Amino acid sequence: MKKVLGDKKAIAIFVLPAFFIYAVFALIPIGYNIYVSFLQTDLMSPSQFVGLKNYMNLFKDSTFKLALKNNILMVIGSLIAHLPVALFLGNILFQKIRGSHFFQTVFFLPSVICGVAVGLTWTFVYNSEFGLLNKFFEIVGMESLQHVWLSDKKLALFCIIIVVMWQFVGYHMIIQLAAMRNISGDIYEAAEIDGASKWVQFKAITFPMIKPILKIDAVLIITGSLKYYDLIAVMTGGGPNHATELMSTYMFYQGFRTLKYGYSASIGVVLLLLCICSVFLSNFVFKEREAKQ
Amino acid sequence: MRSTAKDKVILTLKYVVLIAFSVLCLYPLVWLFLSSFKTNSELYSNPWGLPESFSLANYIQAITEGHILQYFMNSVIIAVSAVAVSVLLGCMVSYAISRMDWKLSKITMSIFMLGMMIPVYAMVVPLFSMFNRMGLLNTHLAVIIPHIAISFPMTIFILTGFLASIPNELEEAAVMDGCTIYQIFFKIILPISKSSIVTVAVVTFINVWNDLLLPQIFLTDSSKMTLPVGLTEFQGQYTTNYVVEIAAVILTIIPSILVYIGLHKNIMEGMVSGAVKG
Amino acid sequence: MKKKVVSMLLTGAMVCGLMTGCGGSGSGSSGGSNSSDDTITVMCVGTEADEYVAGYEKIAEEFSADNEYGVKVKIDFYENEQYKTKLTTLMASNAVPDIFFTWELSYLEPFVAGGKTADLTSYLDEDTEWRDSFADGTLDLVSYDGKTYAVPTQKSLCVMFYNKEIFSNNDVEVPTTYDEFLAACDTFKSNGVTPMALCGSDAWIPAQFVQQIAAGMAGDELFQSICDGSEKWNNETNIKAAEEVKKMADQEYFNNGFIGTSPEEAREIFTSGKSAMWFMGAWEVGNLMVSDIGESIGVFTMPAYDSQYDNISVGSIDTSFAVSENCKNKDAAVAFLKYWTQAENEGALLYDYGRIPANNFEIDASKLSELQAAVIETSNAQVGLQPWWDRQFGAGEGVEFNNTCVAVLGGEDAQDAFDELQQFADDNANR
Repeated sequence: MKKVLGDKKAIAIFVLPAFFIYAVFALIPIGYNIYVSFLQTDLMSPSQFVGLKNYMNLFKDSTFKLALKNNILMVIGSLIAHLPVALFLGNILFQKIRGSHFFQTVFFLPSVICGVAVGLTWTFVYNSEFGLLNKFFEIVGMESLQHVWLSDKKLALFCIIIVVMWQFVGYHMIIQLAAMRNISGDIYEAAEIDGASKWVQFKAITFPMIKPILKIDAVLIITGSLKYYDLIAVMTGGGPNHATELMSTYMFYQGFRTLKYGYSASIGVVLLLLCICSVFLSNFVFKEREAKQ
Repeated sequence: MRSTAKDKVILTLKYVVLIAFSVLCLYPLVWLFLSSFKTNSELYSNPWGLPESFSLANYIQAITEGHILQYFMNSVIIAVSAVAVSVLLGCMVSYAISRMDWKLSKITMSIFMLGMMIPVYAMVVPLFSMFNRMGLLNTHLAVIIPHIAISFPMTIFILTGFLASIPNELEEAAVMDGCTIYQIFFKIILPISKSSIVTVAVVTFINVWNDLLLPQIFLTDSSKMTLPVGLTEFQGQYTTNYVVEIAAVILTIIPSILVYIGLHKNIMEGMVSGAVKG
Repeated sequence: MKKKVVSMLLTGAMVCGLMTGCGGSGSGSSGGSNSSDDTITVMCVGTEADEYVAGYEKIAEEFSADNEYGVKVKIDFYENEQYKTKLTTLMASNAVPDIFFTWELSYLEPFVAGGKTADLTSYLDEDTEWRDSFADGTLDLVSYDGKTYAVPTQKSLCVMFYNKEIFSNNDVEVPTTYDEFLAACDTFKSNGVTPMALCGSDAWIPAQFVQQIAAGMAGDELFQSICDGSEKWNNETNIKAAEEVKKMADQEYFNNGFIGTSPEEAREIFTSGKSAMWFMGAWEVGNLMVSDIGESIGVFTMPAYDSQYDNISVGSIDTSFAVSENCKNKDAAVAFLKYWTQAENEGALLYDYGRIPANNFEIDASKLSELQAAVIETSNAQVGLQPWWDRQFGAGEGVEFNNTCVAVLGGEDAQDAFDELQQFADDNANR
């Protein structure tokens, strides 16, 4: 047994191909990006080593700060929609209810559609001339609520956050629902006999049992919304006047538009660090709660 | 179980919530679908109602002028090959990490997990430079390879979770029967992991299918472009002829929906049995 | 085992490639499009919806059919935003196609500084007839340290298109002073016609209008002072000009919800007769000629706020082409550009697509439509042209100027907005 599972050659054959691809096409590029973040460079003229200057400049850059803030709002919006709301819906479907299969399919649907198509769909919904939203306000006689949604710098970001919330509720709901289905039914039967209400059952059984999954899901949600790109690219391109800029779009802008690749790379590194932090953070949060019980 | 009045109210409320949310999910798509048959002026004058006629003119224009079919084929080629390679290699690594004895397995796992944090656009310039040297630019490989690389973390994450839950007895029995490690992997492990594999395949497929950035930068010929890029081109070209653009969006959406509905059962099964053990 | 060795070697090679990669002079072939020595690849901005694409392709075909180098020219067209991304990536990885479309001034500058573009000075000096065919000063916009790196194929400027029928129906004359312009807008407004179509979704469009108003307030001097740094972005004139445009917006002189209107929608508003005027680049002539109201479109220069600065317009050269330093057959590439800028071809682009040529030649007035003739006349009447800020200053400060203008139109205080712009400019110099 040991011999078979400890076969060095077999391990190499199993691990190396994937590791090779991963190292060459993911780790090396990211390493190179970290290296570039210490340079002032347009990748054409001779570049200059500037140490941490790019990072110091970042924290003086009001657009970067705005992008950071927008990203945090995006994370918060996603967390609300994809944890409590998704959990709520998932819990309804978890309790045997007719049509559960249908609802699952419908809720998951938006997340299989490509970001560009979703973005375009919603630009049509938000369109100020024929869009659903403004037409709706027209019909119910509340014309004062009509807006040029995506070009209004106070509203644009929220319009986009709503789309993100909309798109992935079902996706996370399915993950959470799957976790619930994994819990043995006996526990619930016992609880039912003890006369525990559905809410108590959720609080005392479902939630603690699926907590490990919620932790993982939280990480997915946070890193996902930190890295969001194509929806913004299609819907507003970061505009108007950077109002919907995220770190990803700002990074793209600084690199591919103003050719400040070193600066752009440093945004990428900050993003990477934030993603790593989010893992520790959610580890911490979920551990804390466990300790309390 | 007794069904009291209170239960009934709660049940009704549940249905109200579910149906309301279904409407929220479906209505924009239904509206888009109906709009795709309208003419541009109808879109402005009659945004809510049914189209005057279900004419396919917009679709024909989207297909002939927008090269939608071509983009569709490219998307299929890229997504299917990325998924196939990623899932096979991902399974192998996951198996080695979760079931086999070697010192570096923990570290290897950590290194792969790091990849979940990597933002793709931070890799674009170095990758571009590499592909340029390797002569891979403007080939589908230039999109497929990075997608495989960045899909590993998620794939391995999900699969190791599942594989760790398989009882040892299974392998022990196989070894007794004289199976080699390869036979164990391909004949025993892969088949019982089917639903988890479907799950990771679908997750990868959705990511690759939906990606905009890599094809936009690594491909130059429009004959090699994928659907999302094709759609953004539409945005530039037909900005006032919205109905054609809408038809193109519908054409893009339909295949994903069909694939999803077809595999829905497997996905759910996979999620339940494996994804969530992590 | 063999395979493993090969793959190790490959990795090694790739790592080395990366280390020396960007910045060094690799052996990048052209633009990823498989071009051999006898193919010249051109990268250009355009989509199938642009009328001129056919004209460009015709020039390439004719040149390919018969030239002394025996080369074929292939033009790849990309949508504007996609083009910018592509070109910068190609530049950074040293894989530029033989000939590439470029904007003048600060857009081309980093590519020149990075040694990516070929110095065309010697070719121009060899053929003085070619060099002198370009209007005075046009080549300066693509010259750095006295060396010329690109060849313009078009001249462009902002003009006010107007709908003659709407003007006469409302008894409005073409305005010659700023006050008359405002009065005209007012008349249209009270008669229920949208005075001006304006796109607000693409920031450079409202910005060019603000720049035009600013030019009419302080002339070319202001432009030069901002360029040489002696004047700040948040100077009084810029602020006043932005406020002036904001005032027009508040008076509802622009189409309803203009802030979210796309460029194509704005054009549509004008060509469907819903607005009396449209302020846009003269390059739109080609699209306007084929529109429903093509016959009744006229053109005038926006009257200056201070009439001593009349006939200074936002404008520059356009559709310039540079040759890559990597190009294996520079002689053929230059020959193609020379062929393109011949009177015959530039003429065809003018007559068929309304593109104002960058070089001087005898224009056959009989081949011009009324609108084209009017645009040429307007163009000739200009005493000064100021390049768009986003071309002068590029994607950093230039684009931020555009964003600032949109912010003001969106309701932000002009003083604050331009102060922020200046702050950005100070910070950005150092990144």
